[in-house]
Amino acid sequence: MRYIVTIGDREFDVDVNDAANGPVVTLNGRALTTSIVRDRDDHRFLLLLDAKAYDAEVFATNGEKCVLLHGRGFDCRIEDQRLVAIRKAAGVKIGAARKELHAPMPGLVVKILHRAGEVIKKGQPLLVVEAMKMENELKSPTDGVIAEVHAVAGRPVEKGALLVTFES
Amino acid sequence: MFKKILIANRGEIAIRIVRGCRLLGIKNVVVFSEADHAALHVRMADEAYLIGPAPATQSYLVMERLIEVARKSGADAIHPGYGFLAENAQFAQVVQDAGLTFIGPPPQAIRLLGDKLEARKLAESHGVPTVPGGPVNAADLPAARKLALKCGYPVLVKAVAGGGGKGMRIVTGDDELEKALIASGNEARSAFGDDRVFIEKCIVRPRHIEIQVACDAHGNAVYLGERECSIQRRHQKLIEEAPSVFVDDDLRRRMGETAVAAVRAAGYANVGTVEFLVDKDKNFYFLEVNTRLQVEHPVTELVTGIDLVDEQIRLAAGEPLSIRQADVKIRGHAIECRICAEDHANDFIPSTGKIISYRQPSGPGVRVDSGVRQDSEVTPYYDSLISKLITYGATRHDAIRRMAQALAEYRIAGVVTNIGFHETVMQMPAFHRGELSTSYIADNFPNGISNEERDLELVQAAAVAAALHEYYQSQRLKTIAAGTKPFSAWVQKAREDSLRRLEGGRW
Repeated sequence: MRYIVTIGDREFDVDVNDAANGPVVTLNGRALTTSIVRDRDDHRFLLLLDAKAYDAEVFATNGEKCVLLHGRGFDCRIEDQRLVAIRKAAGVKIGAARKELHAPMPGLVVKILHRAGEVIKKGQPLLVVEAMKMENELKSPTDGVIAEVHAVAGRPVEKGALLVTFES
Repeated sequence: MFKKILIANRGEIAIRIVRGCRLLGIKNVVVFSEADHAALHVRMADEAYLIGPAPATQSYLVMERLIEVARKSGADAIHPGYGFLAENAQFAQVVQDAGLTFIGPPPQAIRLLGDKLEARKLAESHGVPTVPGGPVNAADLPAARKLALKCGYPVLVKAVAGGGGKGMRIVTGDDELEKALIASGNEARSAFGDDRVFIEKCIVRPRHIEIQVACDAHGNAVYLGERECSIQRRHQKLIEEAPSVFVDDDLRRRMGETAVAAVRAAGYANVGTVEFLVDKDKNFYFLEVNTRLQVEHPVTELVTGIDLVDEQIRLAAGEPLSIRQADVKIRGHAIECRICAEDHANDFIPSTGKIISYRQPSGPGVRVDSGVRQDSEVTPYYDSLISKLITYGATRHDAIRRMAQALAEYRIAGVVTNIGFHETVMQMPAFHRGELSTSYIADNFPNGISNEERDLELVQAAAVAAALHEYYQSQRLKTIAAGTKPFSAWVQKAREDSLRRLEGGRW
């Protein structure tokens, strides 16, 4: 089975195929020497990829997978080849950068720094959200023109709330 | 000695104090907000009382509720921990007036040292060096200009009531001064309800080095060596160590004696910390006194062998200091990394959520002071510190090696943590050489902190793990659906388990 795994703005093509001694894994077209030990409920994997050892834990949350590896969490979006084919047929680019800014944490919108119509560079601060006793500048995920600012200064936002959309 | 102590705090420090109480055979009572009803500090306590809704202003900061719980539970002393009401002189007074013991210095000492200008005046009058500068009236620009010129640019404009970097501005030249005065004043007014500001000389690339002191009510005082806390972000400490590579025996003695003189002048009793900035020529300048237990107290505990919470409680009960200056010996080296729920690759933005997996490191010389466990919630109401990882070694090098190993073992999933940032620092030559300053992060990560390239192999492995998880899940569903294999009770049970999980929504 072939999967497209998106982590951040990176895309990986992972092919998993059955073989007598367990699955064979191909990463971006390159076959890996693998050894896979998994626990009873397929939640923890000991992976040897080209002899390098990784002790990974995988959690499924909100339709995405979170892989915990060497103390770091990686949020992975995963699509199998069927979905990829459908998307391609529909003409949607896989893994295209989402032109939206969402709240990374719940908090209080303190200040809005830019308005609709303004030209923004990637990394430019767009608004300030106060959470956990700190004021946090949220930065633009993309170059572009602001289509709409959904946040309102002085109002609280939930985690994941849509704050800013960009013109496509 | 006390019979029962109320701990007016939460998280890792509440648990640290629960342990301190147990060592002395004292019962403990904790308080919790609605957001913390299942928190680890509640699980570990002898007694626990709900004191209000999630926001600290309606729970952990409500003095009357705390006194009420102390009365109800029969506590005879209150330990404030750090943060919240720990440096609130009025609270210390209220506790005293209620006939209870406040585990900390007397209210007058907190009041005196809590006001930055008063503390500065006191320090100066006792021969403690301070950074050149003084208070200014934001409206009187010519006077402010004169003072800034006298100090020499760059200068800092700071809020008198400030803390955590709020209301603070660096001014590099005359033309920026007016704007900075207005901005600082406004920020200070909205954050602290007090718009007084002062100007002080900006020491370029200073080290932040602080002295731990302890005083009893019988006139004895000691200094317990220094901690270097130079690695900071947003003016908040991230990595601390003891001793400092920069401090020799002579400097340690001079800073220690100065620190003791400063707190004695304020009529101090209990443990406390005197913070200094140290410039490249080993000149040290008084910064402020923290009239409480510090977050980073464990590094001092490890290198001196003194349990500071134990000492704190016994001092508050009126006992004399357990140690004399001549007996204080610094042995080995200790480092602390603050493990915070925040995204260092994205400007240290805090992260919230449920900790879905949690495993702590262990091994020789490893200590974890944690406020969380698996299934704990990291909420947006309190600060982002979730635990402290502390390692000890005979040498600094050993402590660093152990820290690198312990960080690699630490597994936290569900919230973003800064473990990866600490791992990066532990590998940096500049850190190994001890080239530290409060601008360490700005100097060493000029383009921000990124995980990307360094971790390509790790990201690839994560992608493979995610794909395998998906693959095995689909295999499992297929097997269940087909139902062609011979019946096995064990397999049946396993399938039922997995189905139950599916229904539970966890998978």
